[in-house]
Amino acid sequence: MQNLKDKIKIAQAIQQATLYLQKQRYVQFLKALRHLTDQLQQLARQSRKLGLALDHNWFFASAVCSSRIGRLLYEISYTVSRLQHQADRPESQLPGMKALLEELSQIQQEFCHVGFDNGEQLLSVTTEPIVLDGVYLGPFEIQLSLDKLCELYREPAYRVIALEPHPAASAEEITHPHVTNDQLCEGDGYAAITAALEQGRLCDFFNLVSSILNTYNPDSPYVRLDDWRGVACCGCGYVTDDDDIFMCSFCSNQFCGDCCTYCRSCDESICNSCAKECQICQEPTCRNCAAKCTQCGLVCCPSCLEECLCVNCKHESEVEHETKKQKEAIEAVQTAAQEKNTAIEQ
Amino acid sequence: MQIRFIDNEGGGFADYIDVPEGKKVEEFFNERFPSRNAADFLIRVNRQPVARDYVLQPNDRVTVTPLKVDGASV
Repeated sequence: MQNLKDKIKIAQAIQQATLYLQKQRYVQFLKALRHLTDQLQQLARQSRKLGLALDHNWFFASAVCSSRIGRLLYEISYTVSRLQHQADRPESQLPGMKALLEELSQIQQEFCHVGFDNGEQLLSVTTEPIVLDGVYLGPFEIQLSLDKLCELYREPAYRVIALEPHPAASAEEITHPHVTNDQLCEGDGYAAITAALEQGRLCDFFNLVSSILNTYNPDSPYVRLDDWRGVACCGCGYVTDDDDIFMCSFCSNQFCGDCCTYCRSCDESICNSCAKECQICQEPTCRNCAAKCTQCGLVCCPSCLEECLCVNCKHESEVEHETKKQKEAIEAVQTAAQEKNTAIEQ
Repeated sequence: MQIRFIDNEGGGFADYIDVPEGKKVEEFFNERFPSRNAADFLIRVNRQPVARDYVLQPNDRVTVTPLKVDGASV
């Protein structure tokens, strides 16, 4: 933004925008006033209905009308309060060209990097690198869109862009405790920022945004600075230190202690999703160590599996084998006894 | 004498106010912001930084902008 031509262009754009904004203030005031008028007309209608109901001794209808009137009075008092607030707002002084050119010169003095994108109509300044409570967040570019200044009451006219993003570990879009998706949550600065833009006090606007970026409000951040660094658990999203994070040997994702366990057979770390539960002893086991019983199909850990059979099937098999052996022994004895009897008879 | 005072703390109002002749900017700040530290603010007179003992002149434009403002999350 070196040449006078650019500055004049910017100043003209801002002048037009501030004029439009002042008109919008009155348009909004008129809209609210019309809303009040509608409400008063509704009140008058309900009042007539109440009169009619009383004339006919329709007490139920009277009660209904009274209830509606009560609600209307409540809404009207809110509307009046809002209107009063709007009426009491001091009128914004429209800036002249000289004042706006002085604003632009002041911005160049106050900020190291000032830029103007003629095509996109963006006036931007870059802050110094921001460090809050020892957390480095990098420099930010405050980009004011001259085109969007007219829509100040409907949508933000500026963006706050991290030039060296150091976002929160749990959310990439949060580049500052009070910035998400390049939008600043102004908090206590809202009224002053709005007034500065309405009055074309650009340097005050940029200074205020910069002040918010340089302040950490621990009562209302998108992400607390305590939780800024670290690793986010893939399971539950909890952000914790590197020391408390485990990597699953199978899916290679990182998990906190609550979302991770280990195979009781081979001691490998596994996440709760990759872990299988032995259906005999209920201990976690990995998919390499788990196997199915060939008899009943249950998934078992190596401790509960013997010769491809789970301990239950193995036991049953042994009992069956023992029973068979005993039966054979008895049969053998019986056969021997029979043969002996036969020999004696002969 | 009258000066233009822009208070960027709170509502960001810009008013013409009366101050006595010979009033220094530091005195003016202390009266407007009692018990506050001037180092926590950006103070500009006619868009320029000034010494604390600068004597205010008629029609001076004084801006006070806090250096720390609490943001929030929606």
